[in-house]
Amino acid sequence: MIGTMYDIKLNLRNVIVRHRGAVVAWVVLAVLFAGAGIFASGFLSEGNMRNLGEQMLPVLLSSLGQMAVILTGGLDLSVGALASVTTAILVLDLPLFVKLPIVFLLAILVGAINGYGIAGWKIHPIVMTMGMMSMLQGLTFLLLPIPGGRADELIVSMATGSFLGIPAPAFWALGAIGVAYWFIHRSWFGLHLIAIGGEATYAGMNGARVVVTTVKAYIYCSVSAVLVGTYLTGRLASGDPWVGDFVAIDSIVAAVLGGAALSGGVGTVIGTVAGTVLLSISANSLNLLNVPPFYQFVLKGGLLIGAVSLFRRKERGL
Amino acid sequence: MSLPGVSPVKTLAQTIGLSAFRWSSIPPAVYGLIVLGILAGFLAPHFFSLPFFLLMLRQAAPLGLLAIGQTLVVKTRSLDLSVGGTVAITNIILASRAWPSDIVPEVKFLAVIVLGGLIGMVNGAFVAYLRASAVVITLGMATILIGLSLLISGGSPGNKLDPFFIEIGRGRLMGVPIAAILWIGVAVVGAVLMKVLTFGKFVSMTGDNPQSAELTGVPVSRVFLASHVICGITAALGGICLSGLIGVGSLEIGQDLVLASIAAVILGGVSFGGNGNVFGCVLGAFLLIVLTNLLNILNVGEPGKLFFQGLIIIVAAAFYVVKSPRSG
Repeated sequence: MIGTMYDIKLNLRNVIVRHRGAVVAWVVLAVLFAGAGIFASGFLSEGNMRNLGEQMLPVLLSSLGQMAVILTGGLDLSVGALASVTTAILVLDLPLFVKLPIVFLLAILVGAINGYGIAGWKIHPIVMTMGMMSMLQGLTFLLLPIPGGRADELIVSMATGSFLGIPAPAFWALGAIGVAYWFIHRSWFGLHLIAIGGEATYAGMNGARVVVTTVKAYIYCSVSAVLVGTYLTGRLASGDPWVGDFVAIDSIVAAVLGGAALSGGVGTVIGTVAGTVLLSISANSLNLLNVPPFYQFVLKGGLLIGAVSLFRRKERGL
Repeated sequence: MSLPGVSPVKTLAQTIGLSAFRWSSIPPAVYGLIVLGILAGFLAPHFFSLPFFLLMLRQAAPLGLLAIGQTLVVKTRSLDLSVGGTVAITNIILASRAWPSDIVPEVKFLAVIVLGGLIGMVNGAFVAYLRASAVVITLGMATILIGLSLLISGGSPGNKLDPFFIEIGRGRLMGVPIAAILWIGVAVVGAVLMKVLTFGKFVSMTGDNPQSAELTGVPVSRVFLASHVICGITAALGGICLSGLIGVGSLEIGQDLVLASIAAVILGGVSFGGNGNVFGCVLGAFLLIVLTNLLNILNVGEPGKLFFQGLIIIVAAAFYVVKSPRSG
């Protein structure tokens, strides 16, 4: 059976089909990068690159988790609210060794409820995660009604410090990409995710444990969201109940731009990374070109609509 | 054809003609309202007075109008997350300083309704003809609309609205709020649309099984388009009512209505591609407003409202299992 897994990988046609979206994303990215380098002055400066990396990391972390969920044919809208709850909990007046386990246990709980509701109780992913989003937002505003609070030194140094002369976000990014690559392209878990996204019934008949695997995917996504919240807390050195507002939409846009299909079963880590960089560079160069933020809303929405319209699906509707 | 001497066994329910009745066919909003009614009886007896009831009706009208359009869209197995954006841009346009001073408010009213329809048409065209995911399209549309409303207002809203709109939002006709009359009127029109006209049958068939509906001759794409257009129009109407209620232009208005409108629809017993009718969602919207008012009395306010709204969505959806989309 392990042999089958590698046969799939070595079949060139399959590789190209699976990476079709990723190839498109990398080509667009190269063009955009060159364009930004030429037209936006200061784009290639060290300060801007550092800034870009800091902006990119939350999107990268959340979109990798989001992609695992999208592979199963689902969607997780609760990641932004979960990131906000994380910051609200992390600035509470409690010792860090109490708060960190709490946020990660919360992530596992939220992911497990989402996953079990969707796979076990057959609630539609959008309805389920939207309800969860509302509950988590309520919890956030209960804990932290207005921005404020102080983050612990350790979290701040983990987010803004550097190690061996390399800024900390680079380690976060490499770690996240490595873990996601292992999970999705090198483990049974990833293979089962793709199978479930293709057709859950047949995946179940062929031995994939549909409910357990879906629950794991949502837990992975929630843990990524908590990492986003932790990183943002460290970067702001403070708490903000609205910090996760754009995490959900950004993570979906990044995954879709990277070629993940919302109908499930199609998506790669390398493509999602390209989608993330693409999204961040376009936002960053718009800033450098002094485009007002209002237009950026419009452009982000347009980008999202354009990206999903490229891939024609069989079914209409959701 | 039964054997001689053997009478067919009938249950009691069948004998008294209740065989088609199932408890689960009642929208969850009815049970919710009963529970909240009992709670309100203990906590706040003034909930049952007529003036307070009318006040809550007025408060529920914007949400209720949004939910009527959302019902149609959800029944066709689609979703509109851009209703909040439509409400926001409606409000900003009505309060805009760019209108010529001699323009009559009726023209503004019509312009906003047409804009709502256009927004719905764009959503529907992407969903029906390009077969893009409705969630993502309407999420993108919501982002675009919020950006546009910030752009139009230049970041500074706050003009006072015409008395015409304030009358719609706050005024009363023989003691009954005009907004509530508008809401119930639109609900009746929606019910006629769904129960009497062929369009309603088309919507149900499309939602139940798009493939077989198409084979039967239902114009599936146009049904999608029409339901999204109707949803855009009701969102604009809801925006008008809410703007009138507030009375001024305001940024970030209506963002909380997206989730609430979907909650109202699910509470009304409507599921993706499932059963349910327009009056269920009327009750759903009213239930959410009663809940908000009760939570205000308990001093939980906004956080409590968000929490319980989410909990209700999940619980209602768990009991009224949403059909999973058929792949085909």
